[in-house]
Amino acid sequence: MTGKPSDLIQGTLEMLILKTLALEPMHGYGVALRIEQISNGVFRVNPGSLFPALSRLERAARIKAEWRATENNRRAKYYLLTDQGRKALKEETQQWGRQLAAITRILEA
Amino acid sequence: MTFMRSFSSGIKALLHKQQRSLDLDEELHAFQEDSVQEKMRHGMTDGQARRAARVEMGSTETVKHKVRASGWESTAESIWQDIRFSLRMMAKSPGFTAVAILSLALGIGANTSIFTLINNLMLKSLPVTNPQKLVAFGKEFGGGRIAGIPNGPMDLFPYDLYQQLQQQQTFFQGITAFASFPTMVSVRTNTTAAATPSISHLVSGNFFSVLGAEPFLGRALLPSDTESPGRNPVAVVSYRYWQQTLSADPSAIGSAITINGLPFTVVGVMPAKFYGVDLNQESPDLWLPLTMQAEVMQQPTMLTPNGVQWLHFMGRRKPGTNMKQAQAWVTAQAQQYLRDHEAHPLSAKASEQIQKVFVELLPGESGISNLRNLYEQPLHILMGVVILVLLIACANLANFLLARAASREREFSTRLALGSSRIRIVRQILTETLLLSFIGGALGLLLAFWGTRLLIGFVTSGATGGSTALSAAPDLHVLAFTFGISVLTALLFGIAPALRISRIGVAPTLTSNARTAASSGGRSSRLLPNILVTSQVVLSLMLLAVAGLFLRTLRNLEDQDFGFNRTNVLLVNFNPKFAGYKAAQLNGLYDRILSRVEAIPGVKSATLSGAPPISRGNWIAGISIKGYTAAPEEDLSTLINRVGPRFFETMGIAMLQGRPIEAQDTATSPQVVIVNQTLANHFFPHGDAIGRRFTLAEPSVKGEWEIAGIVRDAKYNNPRDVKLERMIYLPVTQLTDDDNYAYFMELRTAGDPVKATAAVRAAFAEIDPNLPILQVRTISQQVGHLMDQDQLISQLSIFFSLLALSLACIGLYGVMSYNVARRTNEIGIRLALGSQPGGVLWMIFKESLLLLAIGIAIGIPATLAAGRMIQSQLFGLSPSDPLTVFAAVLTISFVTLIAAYFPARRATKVDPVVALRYE
Repeated sequence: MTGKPSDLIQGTLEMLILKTLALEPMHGYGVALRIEQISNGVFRVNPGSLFPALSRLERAARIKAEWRATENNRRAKYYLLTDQGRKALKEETQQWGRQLAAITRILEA
Repeated sequence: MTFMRSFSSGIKALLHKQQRSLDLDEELHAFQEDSVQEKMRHGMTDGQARRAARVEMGSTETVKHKVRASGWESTAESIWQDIRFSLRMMAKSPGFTAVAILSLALGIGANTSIFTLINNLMLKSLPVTNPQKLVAFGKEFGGGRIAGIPNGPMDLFPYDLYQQLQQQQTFFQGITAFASFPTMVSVRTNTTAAATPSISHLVSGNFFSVLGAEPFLGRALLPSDTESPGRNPVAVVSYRYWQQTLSADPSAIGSAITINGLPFTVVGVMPAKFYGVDLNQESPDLWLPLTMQAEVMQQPTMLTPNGVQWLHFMGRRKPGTNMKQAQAWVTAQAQQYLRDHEAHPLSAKASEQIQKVFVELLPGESGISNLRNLYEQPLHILMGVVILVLLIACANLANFLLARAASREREFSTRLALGSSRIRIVRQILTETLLLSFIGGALGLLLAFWGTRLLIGFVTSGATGGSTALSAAPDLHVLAFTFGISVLTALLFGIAPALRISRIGVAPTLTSNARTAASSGGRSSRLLPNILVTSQVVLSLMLLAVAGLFLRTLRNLEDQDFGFNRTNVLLVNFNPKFAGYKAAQLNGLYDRILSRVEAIPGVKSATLSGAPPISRGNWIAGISIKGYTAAPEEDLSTLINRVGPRFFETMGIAMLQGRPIEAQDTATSPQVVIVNQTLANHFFPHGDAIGRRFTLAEPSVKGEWEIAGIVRDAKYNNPRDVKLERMIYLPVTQLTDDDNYAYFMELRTAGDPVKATAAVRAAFAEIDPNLPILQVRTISQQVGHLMDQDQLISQLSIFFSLLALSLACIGLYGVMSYNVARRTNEIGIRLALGSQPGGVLWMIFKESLLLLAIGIAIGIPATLAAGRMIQSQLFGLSPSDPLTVFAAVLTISFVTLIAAYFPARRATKVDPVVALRYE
């Protein structure tokens, strides 16, 4: 895939953030970078959508935030997945799978 | 759970706003740094990487705003900002704010006040358990009628029908009977030296259990208390009575009080909120067993089989009772009862009449109220009136806000241009209107409390000093009503300005000649204000006409010929029974009272009567005249009053023939009677009434009565009666037993009758210190009380229509002033081009005239329709009374022209030079 990075599909950002954080706690830039890397640069998350999404997730108690020292000894806000977040991720992944299968079926029909 | 967490984190966010902001700054900064590092790793130079990172991030403030906007608290915060901004805007134009809040307060207050009274009288339930299960048997005013077949609906019942129903009924958990009127008794307690008059209510033993009312102390009455007549002298007292007269002493239970000279035992105290079943001017102090009626009323027993129909019934229905079946059953029972007690064999006529008798079962949830029957219609009309007033206030405010919105167009355009959302601006306008409305509503609630107290004072002014269960304190219903009406009001007057703002464009209003553009494209933008002003004219015209109709109704009622002279007559209510007088002692007492009172300087004459010359409820009986053959089905009944000597002289009722009742008509002299003109004309069309004799179909009034004189007709009960009624006057001294008692004394005085009050009281105290005077009022007060509802409705509708008129006047003035201000530029040009001031004056003026003309054209048919709706409340004039409508049109025209004149005149004073530089 080449060309400009595309926008995320509506509503999927929060799921991707949860997935990213499921691997390990991360700070904001880490999340953005990880999503960009794993998607091979297809999705680029800008701060204007990342931080409101993080704030919403934190409000919903799916993630929690902690100030920690980074590898280069600066202070950074790390986000951790909560149990509730884990559950939500599982549900959303399943739902996503179902929706994707359905869309694929429609497109291939 | 989720909600709670979101709430608490929102609160935290609000409390630690600064910390949050700093954290976010740090986080964003770190993000940017990381991003720069990453980009440099990919080979960008430091400068390139920084620029790229900044582009990615955009404005940090925007990001921060987005983060903040993700929680509810930001909405709350912006609403709070809106409120603060609105308050600032309001403070900036204090004049507008004051007028707006005041007119809202008056409008909402008036509505709340009338609604409080409606709530009190019609919506509140009795303070008992499950009041919705209660059923009233008919809805009659208090009173009594002698045995016989009622005409259609039966709502007053005899005692033995109660006993009959009690034994056979299956539809109700219980049926209770109680007197349809309160009884004034004289009570002496251990703590009070003198006997005091108190209000008692005679009720059956199951009264409290059927109602579902528990006593506060002691016990309520029990069915065993009303098993046999005269055997159970027990009393249940009201909380208020216990507090005020029994010193709130718990040991009052079991103590004795003396009622009409007989010892009664206090067995219970009811809770404070309990007022019985009748919501009237005064609530009872005592509830006494029905079977003690003879002792309490000091009258012959009314409990005999086929006796007087004087009781109300109420029942508590069993769950699942079919009310139609119950009603059919009760009706059948009542008809059977009547059939059993008619002379047998039953005449065809009686049988037919009995077939028409029915008992209507009505919801008894709010008890039985005389007051409700009297005021129901007036209150509904007044509710309509105050709603119109509020509509006028709304139209006013909508107009003001439209004008203000227009003058704030620049502000809003600027805000739109700076990136504010339309929703946000509309929300801010609505916040402003809601705020105005709520402040107005809160103030209105206060006004209403005060106003309702006045209203209740007015409604209960006929009371003799008891306490009323009506309360001005707003309950939940009233608060909800006021809140609802405030929101509705805000929507009504706020929606137009808000819509207008939402259509503002950015560009045109910000150009330098915006004002000129706005004024020249004015016709369509002035349409809405003009419609509002026109509707104000229409509504005001309606209100004025309605008020005029009521005013003239009251005038007609007051100024009519009552048949007696209302000036300078004092009416004294007393009760010889309370002082223990027996019938044999009465004539002597009357002599002493009359001679003593007539000696008071300024008293021209004094007399006695059984009932006031005019009052609700009269003594009625049939007569049979010697030598007169009644036509079949002829109505032979007449009103009766019993009077002392000099009655006609004192009341100013003219003698037409024969002689009045005189001092020489004593118990031992031949029985005489005075009849009125209507009776004489009906039975003796040839003018030979004098000397004729008749008997009365009233067992207690024995013997034949010879007609000694004929007097002029008068009004005897309702000032609205137009039908002339028959009346006979019997000499009170010639009657026996209970009929020998007189309860009223009338005095004709030379000057102000009220001044004689003290002397009369002194005279009574001198004759017998135990003889209580229950009430003293003038005859004009007595007549006035019979027109209380008319006074209330006419005074309030006049007050409200004047209020509406002044609101409309302010509104019109405001809109016209605003129009002139907007057109200053245009007017300046016209004047500069040679227009004469007179022409300009006319140009502005004719706009108002057009609105007025349209308003009147719509208003007159609307007024006629409103008049028809209130037709039943009018007296002596047609609902389309031309004089009233004309006066209303004249008033509204005059006021409109005044309101329009000043802005128009100001327009002619515009200095062209100043006007053109005005931009």
